[in-house]
Amino acid sequence: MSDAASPSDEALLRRYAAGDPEGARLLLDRLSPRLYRLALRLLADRAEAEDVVQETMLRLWQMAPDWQSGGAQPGTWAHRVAVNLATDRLRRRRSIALDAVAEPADGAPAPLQVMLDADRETALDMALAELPDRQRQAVVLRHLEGLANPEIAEIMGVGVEAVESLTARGKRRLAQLLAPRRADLGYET
Amino acid sequence: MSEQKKDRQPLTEEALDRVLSHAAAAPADPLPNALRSRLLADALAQMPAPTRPAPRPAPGRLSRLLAQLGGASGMAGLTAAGLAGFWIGTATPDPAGGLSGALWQGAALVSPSLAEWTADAPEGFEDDLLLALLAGD
Repeated sequence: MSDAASPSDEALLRRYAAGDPEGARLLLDRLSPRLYRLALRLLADRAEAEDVVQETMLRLWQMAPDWQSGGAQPGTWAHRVAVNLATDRLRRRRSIALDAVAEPADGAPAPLQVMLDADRETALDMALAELPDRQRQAVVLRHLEGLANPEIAEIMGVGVEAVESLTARGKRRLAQLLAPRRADLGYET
Repeated sequence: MSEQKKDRQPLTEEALDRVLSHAAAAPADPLPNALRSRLLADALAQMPAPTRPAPRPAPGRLSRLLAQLGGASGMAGLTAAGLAGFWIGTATPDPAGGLSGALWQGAALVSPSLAEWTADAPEGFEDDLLLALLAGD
């Protein structure tokens, strides 16, 4: 939705492609805080989140001269790129962790139980980090970023039904992972 | 219910929704200034040059000739004159005989043949004298 006072993402990208630096500033200030928050949710690491945002925006600027109307909106496109870049980093992180970290001894406390002094947000972030990548993406985009299922489907490259399924399974798993943190969450239910 | 048993029970859907809503409403970390500066620098470095209207090409021979002939309006006049000339040259005019026929038709009607003249001539009028008059003698 846009009007004269609030041009669409695509209009701003076209202004940028025509050499208007103001178009770049406006689009950057509109998209990058959302991308940063999303990347931070998915990665739980500020430095990595910053890298993801910078790489995503760089790709958007490079795409600008060849941007095709009628396809995805630049904001949706940028979310998709950020999600993919974050997923790549999580996979790399996981493979490094598997190689570098010794198997925990039997009976060792689960990561969530180790964070005894963590606050509610940290507890949620830790639980999100335990979810499979696709479930985490779906839950974050739907419940933390507030996007609609069709847009999430476009970002994740799946159907709406798949998004609903991923979100439902992700929430079920979250409910299990957060169970031991009831006190930290402040919900004695 | 013991604490251990309670910890194994998943959160209710209501409780989880409250957790998620609370997190979604929480103020997001502001974009670090250093990151914004880097993003802006990237954008300006990648930005295409501003688009300007293409320069007008220098006029060629044909353009100069057209200008000397008065431009578009001059060419329109020349074309009209040319077409008029072509039409005058190719259109079939009425034969000149038709025109003279139209002009002389009345005279012909009022001009009886010589036989009629002589027939109506007064008595004693001589044909030879009439012929001589007509011949201009």
